[in-house]
Amino acid sequence: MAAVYRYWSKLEEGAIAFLLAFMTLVTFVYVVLNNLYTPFYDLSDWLADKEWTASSDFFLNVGDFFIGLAQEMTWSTALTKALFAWLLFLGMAYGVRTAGHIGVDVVVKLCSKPVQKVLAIIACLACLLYAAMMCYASFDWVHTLFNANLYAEDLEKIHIKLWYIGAVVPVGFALVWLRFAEIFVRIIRGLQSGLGLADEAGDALKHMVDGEEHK
Amino acid sequence: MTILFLFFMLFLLMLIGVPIAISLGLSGALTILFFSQDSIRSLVIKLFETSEHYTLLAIPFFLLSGAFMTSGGVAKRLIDFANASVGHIRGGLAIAAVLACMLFAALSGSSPATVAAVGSIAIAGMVRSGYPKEFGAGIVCNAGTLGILIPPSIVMVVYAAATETSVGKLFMAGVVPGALLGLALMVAIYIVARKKNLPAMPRASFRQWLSSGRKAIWGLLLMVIILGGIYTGMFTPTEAAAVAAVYAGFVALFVYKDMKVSESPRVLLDAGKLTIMLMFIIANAMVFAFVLTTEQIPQTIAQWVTGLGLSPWMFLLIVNIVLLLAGNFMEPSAIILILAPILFPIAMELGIDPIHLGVVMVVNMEIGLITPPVGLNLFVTSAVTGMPLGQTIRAALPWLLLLLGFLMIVTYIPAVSLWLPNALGMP
Amino acid sequence: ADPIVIKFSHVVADSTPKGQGALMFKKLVEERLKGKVEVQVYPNSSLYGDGKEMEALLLGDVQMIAPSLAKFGQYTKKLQIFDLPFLFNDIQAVDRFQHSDAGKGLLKSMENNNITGLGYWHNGMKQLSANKALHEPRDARGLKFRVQASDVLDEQFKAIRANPRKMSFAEVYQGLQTGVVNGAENPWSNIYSQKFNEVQKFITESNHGVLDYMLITNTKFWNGLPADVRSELDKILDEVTDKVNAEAEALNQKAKQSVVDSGTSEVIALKPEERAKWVKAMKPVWKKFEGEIGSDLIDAALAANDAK
Ligand code: NA
Ligand code: NA
Repeated sequence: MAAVYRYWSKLEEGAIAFLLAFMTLVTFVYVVLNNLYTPFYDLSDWLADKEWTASSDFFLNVGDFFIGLAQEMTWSTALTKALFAWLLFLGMAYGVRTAGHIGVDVVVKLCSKPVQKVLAIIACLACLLYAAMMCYASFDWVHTLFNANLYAEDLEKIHIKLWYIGAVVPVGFALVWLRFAEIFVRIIRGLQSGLGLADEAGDALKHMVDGEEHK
Repeated sequence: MTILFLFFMLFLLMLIGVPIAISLGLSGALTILFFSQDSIRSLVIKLFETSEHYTLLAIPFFLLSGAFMTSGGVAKRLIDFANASVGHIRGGLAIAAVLACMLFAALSGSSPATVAAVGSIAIAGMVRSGYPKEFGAGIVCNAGTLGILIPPSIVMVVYAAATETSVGKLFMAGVVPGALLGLALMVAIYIVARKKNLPAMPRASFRQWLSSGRKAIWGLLLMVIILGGIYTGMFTPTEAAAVAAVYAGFVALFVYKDMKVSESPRVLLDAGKLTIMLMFIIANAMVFAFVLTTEQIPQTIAQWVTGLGLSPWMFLLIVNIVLLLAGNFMEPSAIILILAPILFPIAMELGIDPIHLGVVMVVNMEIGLITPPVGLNLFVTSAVTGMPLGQTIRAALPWLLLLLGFLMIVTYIPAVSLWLPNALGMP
Repeated sequence: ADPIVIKFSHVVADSTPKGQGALMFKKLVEERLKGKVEVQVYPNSSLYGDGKEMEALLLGDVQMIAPSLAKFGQYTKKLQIFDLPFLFNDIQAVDRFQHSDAGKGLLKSMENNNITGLGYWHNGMKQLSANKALHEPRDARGLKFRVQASDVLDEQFKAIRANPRKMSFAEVYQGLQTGVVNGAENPWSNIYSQKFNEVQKFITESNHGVLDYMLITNTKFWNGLPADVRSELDKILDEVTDKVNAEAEALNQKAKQSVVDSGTSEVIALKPEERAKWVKAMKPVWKKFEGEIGSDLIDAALAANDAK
């Protein structure tokens, strides 16, 4: 069980890094292609004015080649958005696990320990309710998309259906629910006192500061 | 009744420690459940729609480029360059910290990231040279807010997405106010430094200055790439952010070589985590704003305010008060998404320029970043200095007055923000 | 009983023909079906953007929307017919086709997806604009054109070796100004209301295609309405549709004159031989989509070019 848990955590982190890298690269490549053909066409026109037909034609063909690639990549934005959706909804649970979601704990900290525990239980129940509602409602939505069996706009060429993208939402909220259920058990058992809210960027920062100190 | 329940639930959930994002989403969902014929499903569609918003797509890319620049030594070289430029003035290291914040702000879209990148190195340097720690922390905490005023800016991206104004024009409108605020902070530091007799560094030779500039040039070039690329039509602001991320990664890995290729998954994960945290808030704030819209609340408020017959200056004063209050306990992007649909139509009615309103909102958000209880810059400053939050708040407080004065200038002299975009012929 | 609520969501301003149509519909319904039906209009994407409004309709979370005809590619391939370049001679031909049996049939083409068409609303015939004078297809080579998400429109620009780029309507002005895109295709009223003429030096009066909307509703919702309410709504819609369409045409004429008067852009009228070249370059696109659309439908559309 512990092995599955560890393995899943690694997979979660790997997916986040991969999705972010992939969407960045897709956008970057499309930008590059979009800026590649114009210089070749301009060069070709310039050479044609000088009546150097052969070299003009050559650069015309190069321009045609690159514009062809850009024309083929009309799905780039749509794919980037789909990857973004996966990043966000798959990542929500990771945020819960690593205490990455910010909140206000000033008031809670003013209370006595037993009151803090009660508040933590109520807050955790609220989060469980939220995740459950969203999971249920998004399942309903994806179910409709699945039945309609539609392709995603601009992604028909690469055979991506709408529900492939939407399916991540109920899955993501189910994972969030599980993470909060885990926290709930820990609070009840007294292993944890609050939801573990982030001091914003805390982790990223500690990591960075550690990095500086090593140098 | 509906609106009361909505806001009551929001505050209640936030106070008992429910994460901000979930407080926003859950209060919206419960309101729909109890008071409306609409379905929770419509909220899910709205939540998902956030991921399809092209303008917002710039956010993960800007965060990734920021992460590469912080891990990859760009920040360190910018600070060295700033020190070589102004370190010899009295209070020089502090002035240099502000300059470094300005430079880093021109590369990064986020204020907390600016504090994290500059603060971790600059504050330690100041303490070593005999500055009080509170002094250094207060300065970086404040100057770091420039991250969202000097372009690129994630908060501006969010405002543009919420109001369908031009990101490019908004970016340009932030340049002059950003430079002005930086300058004002520097002058204030100089005056304090004279009074308190703070140290100055030996003047760097021209050769040293040039060498530090050469090392920093790779970072500074990114500024040219982002703004130059947008204004020459090579790419959209969103694409610019992706190019910046790839460029920052390239510089970190292959030019500065401060980090190894094997470390890049870690950087990606860090940036991914920040993206998720921020976008989760943004998505739920969208849901919250959606509930306001379906309950016709912005329209009602707009009608009521328009009926009051306010003059533009009074309206702007109210805007500032509302935003400053909201800034105390909310995250900037969420505030913009919730309040822009309410304030924007009224402002248009009163003939206030949408870009000017955007800059006013951004400056308010800067102040919100350094006011408790929710002040992201305070959290980050406290984390990098190891100072308790209370002490950090006291350290940041004196400089807050300067920001408030600056807010008045930006609010009532629209030319400060609008002059540059207009001069560049952006109608 | 509570009145039946119709949420009408759209992505343009109240002042456009579509926005006006929505408000006119609301007004007439509240006059004639007082207490029975309530219409709530949400303009400017304030409820959903144009990516999600169709899904919301599918699920019954909004009851009426009027997307551009280019947006239906995921739901039925048949409606791609309206995107085919140089199919209709003018907006009158489009109108005749939309009122023909074939055109009315298309309103019902998505009922298996729970979508019923209630009518066509005009925006108008599209004109090509660019920062370069476009007399012949060759002039467009290598330019980036903003397109709506539609396979036909992609192919239309590929056919003249230009690059189609997806961009939401709100971004187009900035895109044209900076040069992320060099050109676009829009009816006159869009060009003028969005001030595209300020950032486009040349506008070619090509009338090469049509940009219209289909007013749609959720089939289950519509069929579930009481018969008397539905027939009254049908009557109101016919009235509104006629007014919207007359208004759209008048607006286009006015907008064209305003663009000419403003002097910001040169308006290029195509000579017959120039126009023939555009037709020759773009018409092969028909072949690619003939299978999906159906050649009988294309024939019906062509027949509408002859006034009876
Ligand atoms: Na910035
Ligand atoms: Na605050």
